[in-house]
Amino acid sequence: MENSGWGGVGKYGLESNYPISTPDSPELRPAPDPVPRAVLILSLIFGVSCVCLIFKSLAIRYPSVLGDEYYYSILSRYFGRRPELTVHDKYLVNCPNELYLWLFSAVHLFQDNSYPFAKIFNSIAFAAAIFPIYGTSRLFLRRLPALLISSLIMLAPIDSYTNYFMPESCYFLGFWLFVFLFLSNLPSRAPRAGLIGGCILGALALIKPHALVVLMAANLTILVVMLLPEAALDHRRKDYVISLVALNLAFLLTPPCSMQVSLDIMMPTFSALTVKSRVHPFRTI
Amino acid sequence: MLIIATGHLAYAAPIFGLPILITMLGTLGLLSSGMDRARGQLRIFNIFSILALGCLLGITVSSSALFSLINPIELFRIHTRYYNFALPLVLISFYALLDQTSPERCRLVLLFGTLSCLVLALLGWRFFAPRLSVFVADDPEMAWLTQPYPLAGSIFWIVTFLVLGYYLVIGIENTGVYSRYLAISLIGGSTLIFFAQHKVDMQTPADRGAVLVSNLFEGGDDGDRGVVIGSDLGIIFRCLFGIPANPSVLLLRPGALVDRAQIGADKRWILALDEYDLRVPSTTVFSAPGLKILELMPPRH
Repeated sequence: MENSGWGGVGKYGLESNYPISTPDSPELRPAPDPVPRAVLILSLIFGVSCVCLIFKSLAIRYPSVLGDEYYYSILSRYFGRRPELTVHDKYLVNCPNELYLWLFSAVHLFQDNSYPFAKIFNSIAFAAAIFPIYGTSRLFLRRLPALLISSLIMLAPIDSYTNYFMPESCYFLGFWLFVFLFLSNLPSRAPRAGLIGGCILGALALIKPHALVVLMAANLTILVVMLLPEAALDHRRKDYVISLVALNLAFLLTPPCSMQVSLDIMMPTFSALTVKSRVHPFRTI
Repeated sequence: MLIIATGHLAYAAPIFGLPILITMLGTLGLLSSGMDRARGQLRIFNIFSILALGCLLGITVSSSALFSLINPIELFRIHTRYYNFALPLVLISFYALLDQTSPERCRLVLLFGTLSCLVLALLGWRFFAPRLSVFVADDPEMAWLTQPYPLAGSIFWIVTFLVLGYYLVIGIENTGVYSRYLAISLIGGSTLIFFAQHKVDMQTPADRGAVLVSNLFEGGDDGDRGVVIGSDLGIIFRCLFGIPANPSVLLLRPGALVDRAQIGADKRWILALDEYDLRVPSTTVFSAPGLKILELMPPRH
């Protein structure tokens, strides 16, 4: 039976050349991927997507998602000086997106052009998601379908978030980075999957708190896989228990650590830069 | 909450219904026969996809219900943006599963699932789409169906029914038709969303006011020493967005009296986004309908 989706994708049998499957015997292993070519094509798509998204987002000049765009803009501009803001504007909400606000505080170095630069950053972050999406697709699909799916996602309406001063594009990249690194390590390297997944989700929770829900899903996934009758395919259940503990510990420890490290190292640099460019200086800690 | 959840499902069913269905079958192990490591990884991927989308949808629906207690309009908003970043998971699952396994084994389940998608899509078309104007930022995948291109929406629903009907009769073995439908829906939707955004992207009095204030009071901390007065918080925020400073905000109904005590002694300017009875010693710098900028005199001691 032939599957005609995505330009005639063939049906993978167990004995056929399954893309990145890892049959144990070396003679069954598929021919090595021409990685440089795939990387080249992917980089090309990334570049084209970046340019298209930048042009598209810059064509929209005014904010439209108010007050979200205003909140993120003002809170990132006055990052670390929130009490000053609330004295003047009691209608400001408390956004817990500290990592996003810190990252995007850099766009205010461009003063009057901060909004266009926020859109450019959004576009680059969104387009960069093609790498983890392609990586995830390649775990299960051949090169062409994986490439087509990744490219199509870049063209989907979700790319409209690059127009806004909002964390959606950044979060999109972070989420797919998590999916790729977490799921590519399961089931064979479950503890590593937990550790890496927890760290990424910890940082991601500071971009958008929805990462907490993804953490819940990741926990449930490990639990369900652990309880599957096939006992997670020759791997010991102990590995999954370690993975579960690592996932949650890393999640709990990462946000304060990442914030502290980034603030300690980067804030003085930003502060110096902003003073030089006569923008509101950031508070150094 | 049930209506909100049905709304989400009805709007997800046309484009992502079939992939969700196939991923669910993959999660239950109904579409996988082998036990090798690669298939095991795909099974885990399916489980994660369904759990992630399930949890995100659950939280989205409960948040909408919770927000509606404060603002009833939240009941009529489809906040897909809380989970749409995860929707590509089911697309990958869909193609991976159908590429490896024949869905012959569970033809009846698939038939029932496709029928459910069709029923949900019908609900979306007849019940939700005429009542809900989906905001572009809330649900970019489906917003273009309701505004501002009703013709595109009508064509989309017809094509959706044809595609789902086709799979109901033929069975999900050939993904070619769906692939084309998916590509056209997503790329077409993306283009229409862009034009919809571009159509409403124009300067408002709030933007003009922000530019004027920024140019007039840019030195030192003058930008901070002002007050923006308006009756609509959305318009005030749009104005504040364009001011690279931190002025104060007063939310007052149009025509309200404004005196020095409300403004504060240290303020240098006022930007009024409505008509107000401004009783403060000042010079009018700019005046237009719905926009007034005043430079305040220093208070007498």
